[in-house]
Amino acid sequence: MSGTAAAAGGKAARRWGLPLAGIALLILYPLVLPLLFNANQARYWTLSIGSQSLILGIVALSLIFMSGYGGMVSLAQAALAGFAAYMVALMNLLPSTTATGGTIGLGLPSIPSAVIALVLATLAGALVGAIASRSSGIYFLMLTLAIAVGFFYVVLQNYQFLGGHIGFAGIVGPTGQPRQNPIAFYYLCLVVAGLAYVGLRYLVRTQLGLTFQGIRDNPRRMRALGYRVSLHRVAIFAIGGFVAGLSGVLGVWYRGNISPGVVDLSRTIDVLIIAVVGGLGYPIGAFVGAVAFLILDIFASSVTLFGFSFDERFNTLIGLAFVVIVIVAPHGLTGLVDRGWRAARRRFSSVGAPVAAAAADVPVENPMDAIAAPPIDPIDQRDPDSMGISR
Amino acid sequence: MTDFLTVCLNGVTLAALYFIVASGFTLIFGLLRTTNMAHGSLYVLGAYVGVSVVTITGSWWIGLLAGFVAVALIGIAIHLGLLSWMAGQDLRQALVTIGLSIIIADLLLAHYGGITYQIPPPDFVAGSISLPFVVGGQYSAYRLFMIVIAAALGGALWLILNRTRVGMYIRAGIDDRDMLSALGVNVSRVFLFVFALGAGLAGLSGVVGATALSISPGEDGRYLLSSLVVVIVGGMGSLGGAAIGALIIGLAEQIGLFYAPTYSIFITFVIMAAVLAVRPQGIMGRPA
Amino acid sequence: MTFTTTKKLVILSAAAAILAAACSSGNATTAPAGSAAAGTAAPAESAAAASCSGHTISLGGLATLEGPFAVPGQDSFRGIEQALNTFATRADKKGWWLGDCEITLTKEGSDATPAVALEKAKKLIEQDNVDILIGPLSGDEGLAIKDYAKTVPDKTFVNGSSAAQDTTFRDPAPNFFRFSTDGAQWQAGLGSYAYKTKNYHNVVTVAEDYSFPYTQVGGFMYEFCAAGGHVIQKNWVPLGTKDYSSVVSNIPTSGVDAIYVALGGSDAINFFTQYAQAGGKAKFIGGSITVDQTVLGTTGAFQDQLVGTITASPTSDTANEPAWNEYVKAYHEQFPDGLPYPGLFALSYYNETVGVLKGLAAVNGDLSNGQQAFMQALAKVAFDGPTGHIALDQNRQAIGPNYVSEIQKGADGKLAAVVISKADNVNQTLGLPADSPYLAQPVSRDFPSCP
Repeated sequence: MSGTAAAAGGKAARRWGLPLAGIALLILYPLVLPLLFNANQARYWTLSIGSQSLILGIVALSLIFMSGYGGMVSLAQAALAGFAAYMVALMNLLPSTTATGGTIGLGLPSIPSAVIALVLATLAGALVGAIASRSSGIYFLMLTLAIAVGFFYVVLQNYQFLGGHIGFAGIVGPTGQPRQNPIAFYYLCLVVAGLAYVGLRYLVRTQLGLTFQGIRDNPRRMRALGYRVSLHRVAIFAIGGFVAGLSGVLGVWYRGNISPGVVDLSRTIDVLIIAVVGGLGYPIGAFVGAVAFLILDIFASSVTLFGFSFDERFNTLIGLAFVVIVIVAPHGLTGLVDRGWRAARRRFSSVGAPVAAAAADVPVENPMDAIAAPPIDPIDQRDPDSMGISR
Repeated sequence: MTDFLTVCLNGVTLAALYFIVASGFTLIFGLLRTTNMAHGSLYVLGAYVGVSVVTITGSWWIGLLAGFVAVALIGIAIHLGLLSWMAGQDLRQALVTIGLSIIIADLLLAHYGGITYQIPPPDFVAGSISLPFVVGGQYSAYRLFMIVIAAALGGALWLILNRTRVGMYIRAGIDDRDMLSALGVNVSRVFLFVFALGAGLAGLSGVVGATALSISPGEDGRYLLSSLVVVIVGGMGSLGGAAIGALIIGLAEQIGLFYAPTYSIFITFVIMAAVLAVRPQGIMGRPA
Repeated sequence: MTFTTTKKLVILSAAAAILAAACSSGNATTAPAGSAAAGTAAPAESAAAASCSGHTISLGGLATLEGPFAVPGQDSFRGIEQALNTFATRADKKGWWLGDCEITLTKEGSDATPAVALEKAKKLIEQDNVDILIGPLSGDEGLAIKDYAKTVPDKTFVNGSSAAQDTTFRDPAPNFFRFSTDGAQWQAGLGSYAYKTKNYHNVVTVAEDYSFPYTQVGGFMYEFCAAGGHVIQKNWVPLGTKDYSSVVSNIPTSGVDAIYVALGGSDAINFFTQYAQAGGKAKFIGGSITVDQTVLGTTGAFQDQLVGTITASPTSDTANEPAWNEYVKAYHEQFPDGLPYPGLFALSYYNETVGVLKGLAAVNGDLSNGQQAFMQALAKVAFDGPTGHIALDQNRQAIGPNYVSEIQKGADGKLAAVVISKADNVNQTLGLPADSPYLAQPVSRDFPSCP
């Protein structure tokens, strides 16, 4: 690339222009909605699509972090989020006696409840890590799945302390009921999601983060170098538990209640689907995947393709979309756009500087893709597609 | 004492069903390293095919055969159409089969509805047999028959694996796929055969299970989970491991249901987590 | 609770019903022109509420469309549509009308978990802007929707078929109405009949482990325990259990007069099959969804054992009453691909929708001012439904009729539920005084108790 001022300016615009545009869009999103919809629908898009995407995105982010920097695809993340949500409920609810005679609820305010829940979720994550860190590959996937399903059955069956099949209701967050003040709740979610994202991106550049990646790539060599591999894996799990816990806390505030349905098998698989659809190698993919998943999940029943309406067969559409994404975009939607973008840029930059500068103005369909981090982990090391990516 | 013996017999007969279901799953994993997350859906598909064929022909045995053949053909289609294109990419294959399982379940719901079906057992095992040591002195003949099926199936698979040429290829492939290929064996054809066999076994087990219990939407997830747990506990890819895993899980489930019903299902997952925490590759599995 | 059969005819008809429903329903459907003519509509009824004009009244329907409840969920929507076809059509225009106000219906399906029901209810209320929500289908979903209703005081929530007691009995929501009776009311008459007429004194229960079966077992025990009976053992089976063999082994082989079974669809079939195969000989008492038409239609070793089973439910296929017969006839005319009989779920949703239409007519469709006038009118609505008179109590909970039936073998060798008695105006405490010890706690695994 030539050193002209125009190209330097274009480079800066590419580096920072699109991330800033994405941030601006996320901030302006709830403020623009009332111009497009009536008050009710604006609230729905703020909460059920906006906030919920962020909440689902955070839990998917914890999965992407663990798979990307720890090489561990954990299916326990939805359960860890649910665990945090249950802890918030137990801390936050006023003391009461359940039908079966147990006394539950400590009546703490929402913020201390959340802090305690996050500490406990971090510990729970470490515990899961201590159990699972020796397994690898498919065994690891299944062991974490077993832990998740086991947790589901505990909360489903325990009425004395965990509310059984019905769970708990009446949990209110620091911004009050999300319905009453949707914009405040949205910004709360946005700030938490932003901090989680930036925090993880920062973490991986530290000494600790580099050690994590070393262990991911070659645990035997790291062990020979004197690193305690299992302990580091437990640490990754604890961090994953903390981030998933953030999602669980926001989720229970969003719904106002918690029940076993939030941690059941399909919700567990949903988190994996979100991460894969967004792109397992891209932290921002968690949020891209969450938006795509929610939009598809909510509106699939209104889709008509080639004259066939999916209103009853919306699950077929969701399954088809998932299969197609896994086949044509092994690095998820983010990977697809990222590669297209790089290929386009390579083509333009080979022609000359003026064109390279112009390339910065090429519109991007989704501004969020532009702030994507470079891929951190291909979906599978044997994937021939991934060979071109430098580590 | 009769209580305990009866519950153990319940556990063993349930284990027979779990073994039949899990055998195809573990076979596919052993050679292809594919975690077929659509295994439960193939089970349900086989069960529904069995329902339709038994309703038309009136013969349980024809239904059993139809369940096997139909699902084996579907398995061939899945393998040739999707999975063989991503050979060696474990996670991607697992994800594709998750997507497939969503589609298959939804299409079966569209066609068969949310109704529960039961396949009537063949006449010679339709009633109950008197057994002196069980509660009430009577026991379901079909449940005992499932033990026979499981044993016959296990024996047949053992013979295929140990006494035939293709079985030799399969065992060699489990040990070293690249070497087998280098020796001039058409590995992709062996893979296809194993995938079709494993899928067919899922279909066959659907017919067996729909006779013992019943079939309705949602069973796919249930049997996928039970297969996973059984095979993980026993050691993935090992037929003997599947038998041991099935016994442990079947017994735990039934003993739990009798003595501690509230947490009976939870117990099986505790066992699985405990086994893997101590022995990460499962009881009969080889270190990864 | 699924509908169970191996009979080809029923399979085909039900599968056809699903396919037909798949083709006919869409988001925000309005009635096809033909259905108004086909129904036994009472045009005079809708013409009476003539003065509504100028706005659209938007109804939301929420039922279960995934998993084992998919078939009842389809039938639930038929219930809503049948009520609209019967009471809200005009000779001169397509669609559904209250006077000159068009009524629209937007449908959403859940998967029977409270979490998803809540999300779908939010979508209907907030994204689709419905005025009145009708649903959901199952017990714990209803409890979740009640809690949500409290946060949206300016919308009206009307139950579907969910039947947990505490949806209305304890801590009710002021804008939640239930024109269907609850799971305890569905057992009215059964406990007394079991003890006094059948002379069952010692009973074992087998039921699924969540709020609806608790309510059913509780409703049975209110009467049965008060009459002097003993429930010597309760088996709560975790949701998802399919192999009941060890539950069967747990039932004492002597000293038990009858087994009370509150399981639905495939679970009922599995339990009855395994009990028969184990050589069990006790009589059965059935919950409201345990021995429906399709369970009775299943061929199996347990068939003969079901003869003499007593059960109670707010609907009876064989109730030979004029209003019922007319309702069934209209159901078959409007939904040629429907179930052999409109079930409990169709009837519940039908009654709820009729209640909504009566309430709307009383205020001429006026939903202004946070729907205050409408809700006040709705609380006073009373009408004669297909099975009898329905009115609301102070918690906006239905007081209505209930049937006790017995399974008998007909001349054609087929099993059918024959009505033994009918109780009218069953209230939520089944006639117990408010300070009765049986009402001191919510129903649960351990309460009530009379070992």
